[in-house]
Amino acid sequence: MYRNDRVIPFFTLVFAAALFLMSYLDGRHITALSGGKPQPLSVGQIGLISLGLVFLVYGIIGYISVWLEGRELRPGVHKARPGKAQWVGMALSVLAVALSGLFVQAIVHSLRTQENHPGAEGIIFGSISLTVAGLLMVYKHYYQDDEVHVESEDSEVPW
Amino acid sequence: MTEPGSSSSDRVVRIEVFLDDRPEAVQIVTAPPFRFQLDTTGLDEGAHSLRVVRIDASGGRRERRIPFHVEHASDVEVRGLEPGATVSGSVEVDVVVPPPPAASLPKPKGPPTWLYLLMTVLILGGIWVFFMVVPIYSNLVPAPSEGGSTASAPSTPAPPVDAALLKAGEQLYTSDCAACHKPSGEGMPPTFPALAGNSFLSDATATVKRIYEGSGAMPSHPSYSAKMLAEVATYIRNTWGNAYGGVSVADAAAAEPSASNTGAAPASGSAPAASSTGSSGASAGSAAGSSSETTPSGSTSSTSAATPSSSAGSTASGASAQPSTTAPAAAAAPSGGIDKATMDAGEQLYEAQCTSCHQANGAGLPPTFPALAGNAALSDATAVVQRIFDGKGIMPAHKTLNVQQLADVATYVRNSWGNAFGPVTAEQAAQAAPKAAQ
Repeated sequence: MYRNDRVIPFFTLVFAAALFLMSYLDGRHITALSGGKPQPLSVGQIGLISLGLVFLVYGIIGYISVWLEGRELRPGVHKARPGKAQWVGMALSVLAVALSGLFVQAIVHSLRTQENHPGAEGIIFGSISLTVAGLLMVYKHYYQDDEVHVESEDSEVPW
Repeated sequence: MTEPGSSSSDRVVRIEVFLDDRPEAVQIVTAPPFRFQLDTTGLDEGAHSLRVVRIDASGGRRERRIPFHVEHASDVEVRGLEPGATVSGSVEVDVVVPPPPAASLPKPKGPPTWLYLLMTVLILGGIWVFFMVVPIYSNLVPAPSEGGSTASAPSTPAPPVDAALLKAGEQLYTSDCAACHKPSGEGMPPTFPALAGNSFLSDATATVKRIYEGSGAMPSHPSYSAKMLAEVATYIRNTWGNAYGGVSVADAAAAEPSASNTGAAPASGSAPAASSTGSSGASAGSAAGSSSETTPSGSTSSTSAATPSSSAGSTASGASAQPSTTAPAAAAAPSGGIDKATMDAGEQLYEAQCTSCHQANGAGLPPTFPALAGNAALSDATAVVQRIFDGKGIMPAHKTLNVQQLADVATYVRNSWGNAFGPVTAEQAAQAAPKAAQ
């Protein structure tokens, strides 16, 4: 059976953490060379962070796959069992609506006062995106049936 | 089953379920919702009946019989071949089997938890150790700005830093030290150690001695005066996050008694250095008439005292009043067709700006700094001048040299240590480096 392993996602996240750590230490080194003054991100740091983000997203996707599909795919029809997931869905929906309202308020505030707070606005919008992603995950996991087919080795998938 | 009635007498209080003609009920439900599970796995295949008896609160009984058919093979769904279908040739049939109970299947096993933890510690710890062990990063812990770890630094406050010495030291460092130790102080470990965060610098005496006497690949600087030593030491001890305090001229003289004192340095021929440090306004050397502002060289020799005009001219990159060292060269004895004054001027420049890497004997420090002695690449005069002026790779550019100085250095390196590639004229240098000052 097809293994939906957690080994690769785990080490992907570890590598992401390693790259972030390298970027952090590199930044400390640059700061030390400049007499303790914080410096803008160097090209090397940006490269490390970018690669780290790639690994981070890849690892998170891997863990989401394990949660949605299980560690091992078994052929057959898998009925979704909502259980009490509706409460989680309701909470996430309310959170998404609240964050959206907060985001709109932040935009209106910026337009009125001409004071931009890109950091806060970015955090709010990112939170909205993550909340919506969580809702999709909950829907997929608790409300959508799955069916796993067994394909022969010479299937149409080229790998 | 749901409760259709609304009156209290019709209220359903009990549901009894009978299978086939069995006398005992297989299910009894006394409260809504009246739902039950019918397990058919124990029934034979074929026709069966379900009898549901409803008992009201008033004791009334009503029943309903539901016939049904059991076929155990029905848990296998066949797709692609319908019952009674007419087929021919090859037919693709999908058989969909419901998954077995999860408990009956073994759970997939992954690596043990301790292996996850061990690998995480090894990877992240390895990176941390790498940044601590590699010399360039070893100063991160403790932070270099916190001072050195030697006994002399932490207990006593750092000596005050003379801004004039610091500024002059930067010029000297740029000209004499940056080629190896880099302008950023990172050096090129392991041959040329980093100065940024280097705790060795916390010892002012050892720092001055190391500059003056050299060690290993680090060349000596015997032409440095005490003031120049103080300038360089002050600069490298208080830059790139270092905060080891200043070094006074008196401290430098005490640390290296053999170095000439402040007043003697320019008089002994270190006019270029005096001019470079003269920007601080403190050097008596500026009174020697050298108005150079750009050439920070401090390494002169006693020969320059013998030919003061040539020395002044060769280092007066910024002064156009005496742009040429060849002017007095007519009085100098030619040596193998090459003016002695040109060779002397070139030697002075070479000692000041080139020996730290290419060494005084032209042997260099291969492979980083190639040897000049016997180097066939020097046969191309134009390339030599361009390389000196523009630099390449770690070879720094020397944009402050004028065409005559370029010609002097090029002539010197092309005709020393056994080299005999002939002189380079100022005109040739001007053609090779058109951006150089005349």
